[in-house]
Amino acid sequence: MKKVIIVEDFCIACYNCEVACIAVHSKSQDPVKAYKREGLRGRSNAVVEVESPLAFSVMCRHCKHPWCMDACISGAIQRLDNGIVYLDEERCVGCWGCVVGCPYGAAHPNIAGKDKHAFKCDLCIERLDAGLRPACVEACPNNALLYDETIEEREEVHT
Amino acid sequence: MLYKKPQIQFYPYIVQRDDYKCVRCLGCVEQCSYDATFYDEELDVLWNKHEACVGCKRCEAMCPTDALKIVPNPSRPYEHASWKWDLVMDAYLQANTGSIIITGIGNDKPYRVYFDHLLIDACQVTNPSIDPLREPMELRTFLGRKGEKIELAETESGKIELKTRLAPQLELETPIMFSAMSYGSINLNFQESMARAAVKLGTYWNTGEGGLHKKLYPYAGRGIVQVASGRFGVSRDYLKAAAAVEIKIGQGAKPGIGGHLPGEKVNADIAETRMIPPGSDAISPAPHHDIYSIEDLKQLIYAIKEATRYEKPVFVKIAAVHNVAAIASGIARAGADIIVVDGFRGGTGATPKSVRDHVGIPVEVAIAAVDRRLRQEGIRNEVSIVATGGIRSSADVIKIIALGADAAYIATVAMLAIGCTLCQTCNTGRCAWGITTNDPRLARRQNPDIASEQLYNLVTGWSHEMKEMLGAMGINSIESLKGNRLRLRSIGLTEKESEILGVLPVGE
Amino acid sequence: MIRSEYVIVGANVAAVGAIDGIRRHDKKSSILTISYESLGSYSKAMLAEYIEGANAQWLEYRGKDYFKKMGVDCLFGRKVTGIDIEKSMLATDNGDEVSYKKLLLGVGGVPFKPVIKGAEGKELVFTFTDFLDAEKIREALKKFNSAVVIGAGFTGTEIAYTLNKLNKKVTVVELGDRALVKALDPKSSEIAEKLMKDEGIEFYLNDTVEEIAGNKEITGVSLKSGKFISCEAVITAIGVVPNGELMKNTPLKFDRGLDVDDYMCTNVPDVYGAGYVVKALDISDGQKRSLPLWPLAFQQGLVAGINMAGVRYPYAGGLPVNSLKFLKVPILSAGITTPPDASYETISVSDPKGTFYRSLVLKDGRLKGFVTIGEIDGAGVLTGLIRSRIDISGIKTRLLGKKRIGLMQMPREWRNRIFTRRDETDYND
Repeated sequence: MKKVIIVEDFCIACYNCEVACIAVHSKSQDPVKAYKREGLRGRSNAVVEVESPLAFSVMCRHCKHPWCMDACISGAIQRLDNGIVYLDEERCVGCWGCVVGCPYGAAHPNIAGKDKHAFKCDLCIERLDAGLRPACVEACPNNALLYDETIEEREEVHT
Repeated sequence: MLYKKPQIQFYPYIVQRDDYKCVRCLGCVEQCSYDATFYDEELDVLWNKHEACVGCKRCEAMCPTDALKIVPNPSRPYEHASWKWDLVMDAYLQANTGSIIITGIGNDKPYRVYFDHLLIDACQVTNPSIDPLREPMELRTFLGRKGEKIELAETESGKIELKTRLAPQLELETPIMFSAMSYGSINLNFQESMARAAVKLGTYWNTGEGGLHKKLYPYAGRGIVQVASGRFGVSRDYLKAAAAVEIKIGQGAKPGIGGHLPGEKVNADIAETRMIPPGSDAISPAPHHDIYSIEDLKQLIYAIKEATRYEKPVFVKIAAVHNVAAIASGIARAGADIIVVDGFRGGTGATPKSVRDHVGIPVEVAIAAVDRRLRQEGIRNEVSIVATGGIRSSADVIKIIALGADAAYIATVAMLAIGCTLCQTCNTGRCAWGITTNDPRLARRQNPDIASEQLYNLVTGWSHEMKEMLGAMGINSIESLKGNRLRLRSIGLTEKESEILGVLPVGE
Repeated sequence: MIRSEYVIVGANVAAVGAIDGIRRHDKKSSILTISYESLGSYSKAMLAEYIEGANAQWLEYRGKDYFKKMGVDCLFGRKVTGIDIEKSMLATDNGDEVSYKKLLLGVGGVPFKPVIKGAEGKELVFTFTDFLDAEKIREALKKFNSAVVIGAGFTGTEIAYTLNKLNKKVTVVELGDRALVKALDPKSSEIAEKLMKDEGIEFYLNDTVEEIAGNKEITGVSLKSGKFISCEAVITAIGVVPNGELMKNTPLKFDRGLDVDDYMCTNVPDVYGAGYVVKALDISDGQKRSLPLWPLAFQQGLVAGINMAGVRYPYAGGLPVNSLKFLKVPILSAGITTPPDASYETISVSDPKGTFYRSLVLKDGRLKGFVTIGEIDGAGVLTGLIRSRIDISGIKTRLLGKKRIGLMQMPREWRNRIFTRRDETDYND
C-alpha cells in the first residue's frame, strides 16, 4: 500500500506541490501552459494551508475505507487493487457527495465551467506505473511530503 | 519615493519578473521574508518593493516556473574608483540613522586573497605520484598536545606498550571541522545538521558561544563547546558532555570587540540554553573580564582542565591580528592544547561593518607566521593549530595545512552548502533560507535530514579532492604535508610576501 | 427450486454494499440477488439526468460485469411476492421458489401515494421514485408543456427543476411552509426557493392539491386554498415510505421501518436488513429512523454483509448528509440543520447576493449540523467535526468564512495522526 506522508513541521509554503500537481495532470505537462492556456489554476489536488508559522499541504489520504466512495452515486470513485482511491472524472456527475463526505476536505468541487465534477488526488497513478514518485513528493524541496511504499495493509478492525 | 528619504531610491537590487511564466502560485510572496513581494488579489498581479529586496534570491530559487531574476540595479551613478558605491550608500545610511552599520558574513572587500596566489606542487618522473584509488591515503588527523618524545616499555609477556601518558587528543577522519556558530545567531535545525554530519564524517562540530541545547546532547560526544566572554550556557554538564572545550578570545570577523544578540531575538529556548532571562540582550564583552593577561588565560585553561579532569583538550581561539605569532606563542606556553587562528575573512551573524572590513589579517599569513614562530621556539609540537576564516575549497585546506596548520574549521562554506547566498543580512534575523534566524516560520526551511546530507557531501567531496591532490604530490598522509612549505610556490606576490609566507616564488 | 447460501432481495446500493461485505470474508458461497428492476444498482439522484436524455447504461452504479465479477447470480425483472420464514424460502412472481441460508432485505421504499380525487384513469399522473417512473416521464415529455409537482422535498424540487430546464412550465405545491424542510433551515430554504423562482418555477406553500381536473386529459389542479392551476401533467413527490409489503404475514417486526439490531439483524435470525427499509441509528440525535440516503444504505449493506458472513461487526450509526447539485449554486447540509429547541445554538453568515450562506448548529460546543451554500470546498471537514464530536467552541467563527474549510483549526495531534498514520478511517459510522 502506498501513501504520501505529510510532515507538517517542514512545510515552507512554497506551493511547488500545487504547481507540480497541476502540471502533471494537464494535457501539456507544462506548468505555464497548464495555468494559462488550459485554465487549470485552482485545480490542484494538493492544497497548501498556511497560517504562519504553520503550513502543510493536504491531499487525499487514500483511506482503506473511503467515505467518498460510500457517497459516490455514480460509481466514479473506486478503490483499486493497489490501494489507490481513484475518481474517474468522466463518470462523475457532480453530486458533491464526496465533497461533503470526506472528513479531510480532500475531494474538491469544480463548479466553474460547464462540466460540474469533483476532483481529487489520484496518487499520480500514471507516474507510479512508470516507476516515478507522485509529483508533489518530487517537487517538495524540503521533504515535507514523503512517499512510502512499504506500509502494510492494516488488519481488519474486527478480526 | 513617497514618504521616504530620497536615497532609498538607489536600492541595490531589482526583482525582475517574467509575467508570462508567472502562474500566480504565490510561492514567492510566502518565501520572501523581507516584505518585498506582494500579491494584489483584485488585479491578480504580483508586485515588488525593490527597495526592500536584499538580494537573498530565495524567491528566485523557489519559483517553480523560473519567472524571477534578482538582478543588480543597473541604475548606478558614476563609477568612481575610490568612492565605490557601497561606501556612498553607507554614508547615506549613517546620515539617516546616526548608528553603527551592522552586517553579517565575512569581509567582502577586495583585499588580496593569498590562497589565490599559491600553487601546489605535483610529482613527475623523479618522485612518482600516488594513485589514491589504489593506495591507502591517510587524512586522519590528531589534534592535541604532542609530547617531546615517547617512551616504550616491555611488559612481562613480551609485548611493547606505551609508557608515556599522552595528552588528550581529538581524532578526526579528515582535517576539516565545523566551526563555531552559536545557537541564537543560527537556529537549532542547522546546528543539528552540523552535529549529525560531524558524527557521520568522524569529525567535530562546535556549539559556538550560545550554549549547548538539550536536544543536541546526544551529539555532544563529537562536539566542541565554547567558553566565550559572555560564558553563555557554561555549566558542569556542558563541559562534561563535550569532546573538547574552546576558550574564545576573539574571532576573525570582529577582532577585539565582543558580540551582541539583540533581546528580541532571545526567545525562551535561546534564553534557556544561554542561561539568561528571555528578552534580555545577550552581550559578550570585548575581553573576558577575568582575562587581562596571559597568566589569567593560563588560570582559566587549567581551571577548565581541572574541571574536566584533564580528559579533554582545551582550544583557545584568537583572531588573526598583527602580533598573532607572539600571542600564539604565549598561548601555547599557557597550556592550551590547540590554538585556533581566525583570519579576517571569517564570518559572523552580526558585526559592525567597519570592524569586519578593516580589522585583522589574512589567515594564510597568520598561520605561516605562527607556525614558523612556534617551530623557532621549539614548541610547535606542544599545540595543534587550526586555521579558519575564509576556507573556501579543498585546495584552500591543502594550502593552509602546507603553510603550517593541522586542520581547518569551516563555517561560511557550510552555510553555502545549505543554501546561503551571502546577502549579508544575517543580523536582521529574517534569513529567508532559514539559516541565521530563529523565527519558527523561517527556521523550518532547513530540514536537518536534507542539510546534514548536504554538509556530509561537501566535506566528503573535499576529502576526496584532498586525497587526489596529496596523491599528485606523492604524499600518502596528511601528516607529511603539515608545514611543508616546499610543496607550495607563490605566484604574483612580492618578494617580501613570499618570504613571510615562507614560500618560494614559482620558478624557483 | 433455486438454492443459494445468501439471498438478497433488492439489487441497489444496499445490495452492492452487502455483496462487498460478504465477499470480504466468504469468497466462495453462492449469492443470489433478486430485483424487480432490470437495471441493477443505480442512484435515484441520477434519474433527473436520465429524463434529460442520458442513456440507461450511464446510470449503472458498478457496471454490468460487477455482479459476475463478484460471483453473484442475478434474477432481474423478477418480483419477490412472499417470504416463508419457517422454511427459509422466498416465492417470486413467476412461481420460482428460492431457498436461502441467510437473507438480506434491501427492498428500499415505495412512494407515498395519496389518494387524490381525479387521479384515476389519467395518463399523465406520475410518481418519481425509480427507474420505471423516470422512463415513463421521459417517454411522455412530448405530451405535456406544463406540470404541477406536489411536494417540495428532494425529489419534488429536483424533478421540478429538471422539467423547467426542459422548458416546461412548472408549479410546485407544498404542504409545509417552505421547501426542503428536512434538509435545510428556514434561511437556506428561502435561498433555494429563490434560486428556483429565478428560473421561473412557481411555488404554492402551505397548500395541497385536492383534485385533479379533466377527463382523460388533465386540465389543471384545484388546491385546498381554492386556487386553480392549469397544467397538463401532475407528479407526486410527497415522499417514500419503507417497503413493508414482504414483512406482512411474517414474524418480522416492521413498524414504519424494519427493526434491526446493532448488527443489522432483524428479530428473525439469519434475516438481515439494510438501506431505507430499516430503522437504523441516526447519530445526529441518537434516534432510530429510516433515512433514504445513498452512503448510509451502502454502509448498512456492508455491515449487514459482514455479519451475514459470520463476522460480528457493529453498525455505529449514520449521519444524514445531503447534497443539492442541480441548482445554480450548490447546497450541502448534514446533521441537524434546524435547531429543535433552545439548548442548541446557531451561528450563520450570508452575503446579500444570496449566493453564499453558511450556518452551524451547535450544542454544548459541539457541531450538530450545518448548511453551506455556494462555498462548499472542504464541507466534509464539517461533517467530520459532527462525527468526531470535537469541541469547536474556540474555532466556530473561523468555520464561517468563505475560504475553503481546511484542517488548520483541527488539533495538531489529530492532524499528525491523519498525515502520518498508515491507515485511516473505519466504517464505524
